[in-house]
Amino acid sequence: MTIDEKIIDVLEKNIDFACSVPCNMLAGILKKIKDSNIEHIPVTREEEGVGICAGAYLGGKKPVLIMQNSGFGNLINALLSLTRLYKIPLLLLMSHRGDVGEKIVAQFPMGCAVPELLKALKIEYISIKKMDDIYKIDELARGAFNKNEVKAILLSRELWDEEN
Amino acid sequence: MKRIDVIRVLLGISKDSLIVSNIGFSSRELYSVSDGPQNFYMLGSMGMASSIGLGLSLAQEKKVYVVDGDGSILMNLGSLSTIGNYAPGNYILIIVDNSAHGSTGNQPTHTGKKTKLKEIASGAGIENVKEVFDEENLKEALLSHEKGPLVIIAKTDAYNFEVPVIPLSPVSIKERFISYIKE
Repeated sequence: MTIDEKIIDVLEKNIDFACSVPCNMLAGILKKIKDSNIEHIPVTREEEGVGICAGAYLGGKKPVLIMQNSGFGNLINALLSLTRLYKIPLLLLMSHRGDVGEKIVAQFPMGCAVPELLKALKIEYISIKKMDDIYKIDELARGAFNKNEVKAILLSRELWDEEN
Repeated sequence: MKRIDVIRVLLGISKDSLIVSNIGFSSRELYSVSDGPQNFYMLGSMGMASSIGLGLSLAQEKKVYVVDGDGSILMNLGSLSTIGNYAPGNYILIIVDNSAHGSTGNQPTHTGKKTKLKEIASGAGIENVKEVFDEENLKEALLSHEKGPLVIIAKTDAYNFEVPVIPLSPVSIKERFISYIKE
């Protein structure tokens, strides 16, 4: 199984609905998600994805929002005044741009800020840097849906380096 | 026509369907006219009404009516393109277009000048878009809905009824709404 397949596989155990805003680190996952049991809606902006995921949860789905961490700044209001306010669970699966191996200078400001923002917002998150850690997504996702909380995953570029 | 008239017409037709109402006076007026577990009142996240309704309509089969506003939809215009491409037939978005940010003191929005929401919605890929100016037109538009998602732009006066703040907690709004869907 490739890294992308492993991630889809662990998501499928807990998730049946996804919204996404693309990132080239996530391109493989977004391609493979079409062949999974997860209903996938590409959205125009991260905050919109938060709204659709909240509605899908109310209607009985278990949602994930797949996005680049640079878009985290676009969704904070809805994440707190909708998702958290109503105690709606949500999994955020983010590529961690602006970290080790980043070549695009514009990615650094949010790349450095996002872990600190997650801490400030008291959102539990895990960083996945190697293939052997992908299984940790399972427990985090179960925690999100058992406790009705937002939980986040940062996927490091090093994760895919293993494959290349 | 005022916002509360739109809500009254909708309630005459919506029966057991779900209603997602926008933050501020859309939710407060809906609550004051008729409270019930089928109403999801937004207390925060301005701009998200059309998106919450879209997720809801994709996840279950009951009809979903969204009462949104012009200021809010202008904040989340990308939503119209997602609706145009992905919304199912149980999705009905009513944009109460009073050309004002009603809940923050009626500051004018761009729809009172050059911006046409009807054309934006059509251009976003939504096939059924209707603009209505009175209660009769609105009722007709809602009753004639057959298939595919529907977007109604309801042109209204900028007017807020004196209604109290919703006394329900967010979690209780959510819990009774989910129970109602599962019934």
